[in-house]
Amino acid sequence: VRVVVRHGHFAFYPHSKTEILHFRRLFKIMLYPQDDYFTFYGLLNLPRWSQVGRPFGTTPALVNFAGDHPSDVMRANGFVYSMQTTLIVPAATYAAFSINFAQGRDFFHSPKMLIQPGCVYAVGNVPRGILAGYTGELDVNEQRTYLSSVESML
Amino acid sequence: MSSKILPGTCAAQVVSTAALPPEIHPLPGLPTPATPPMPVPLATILGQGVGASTGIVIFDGINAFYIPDISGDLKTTLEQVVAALTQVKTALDQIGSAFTTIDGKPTGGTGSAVVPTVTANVTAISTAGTAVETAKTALNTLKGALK
Repeated sequence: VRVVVRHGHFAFYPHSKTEILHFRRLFKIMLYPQDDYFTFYGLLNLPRWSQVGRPFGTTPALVNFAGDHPSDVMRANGFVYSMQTTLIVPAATYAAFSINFAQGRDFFHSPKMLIQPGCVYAVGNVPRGILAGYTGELDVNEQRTYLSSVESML
Repeated sequence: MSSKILPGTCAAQVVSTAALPPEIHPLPGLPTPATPPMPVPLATILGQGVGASTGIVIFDGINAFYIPDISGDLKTTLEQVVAALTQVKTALDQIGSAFTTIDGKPTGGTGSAVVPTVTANVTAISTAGTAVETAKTALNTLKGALK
């Protein structure tokens, strides 16, 4: 499954239908179709805009914003999707968590298959910043995730 | 960059979006409640924003704009201007009538023309002037409360 996390928003692009089934068995999490990808329930049908105080998902938005994709709104508000609570939360919620990626030849290797955005990350024990997103390949057979890129929050 | 347009209101320079109905979610369980009218801080008002108004709120990137529906202002303004012009026309007609009367050039004596009197015309002119003043006051009031 190709996984694209942008500004705390998860999009999964399976190479086959069976990958979604494997994903469900592996993580005990359902994925739902949205546009041309699959995503978590809590990220379904999010608006592409936010207004201060008006719930974005279930979390009151912090800024007025209109963008092209819900991930743009999440970036503007400093939100990430929490895999733990299945809610959209401020990225700072995970500031105390950290993850260290191993630098491979053409990829970063993650110690976890699904990585929570908002945590502090390092590559080869060198701190890089707060994780906003990543692109990679989640191999449900090998049960490993290979990241082709990682993105820090600005 | 996309934008979002919502119905809104403005009162005393405070812009708010109108209440939104609950959104229908394809799957049950996720709360999507109706939301009440909410202020839009830092919205740029593309109007005078003095009088209370309805209009639209546009979210564009990190910017928010409010465009009031000023058609009411425009209609009222035009009505006041038409009323004022009507009164001016009435006054001019009365002035013309008075001059015509004066131009009768009374000669006096038996069988001559009646001595003209313009009192009624002057009264009508004064009335028209008062109406024009009233229309001007209404326009000034409107100017101070434009949406």
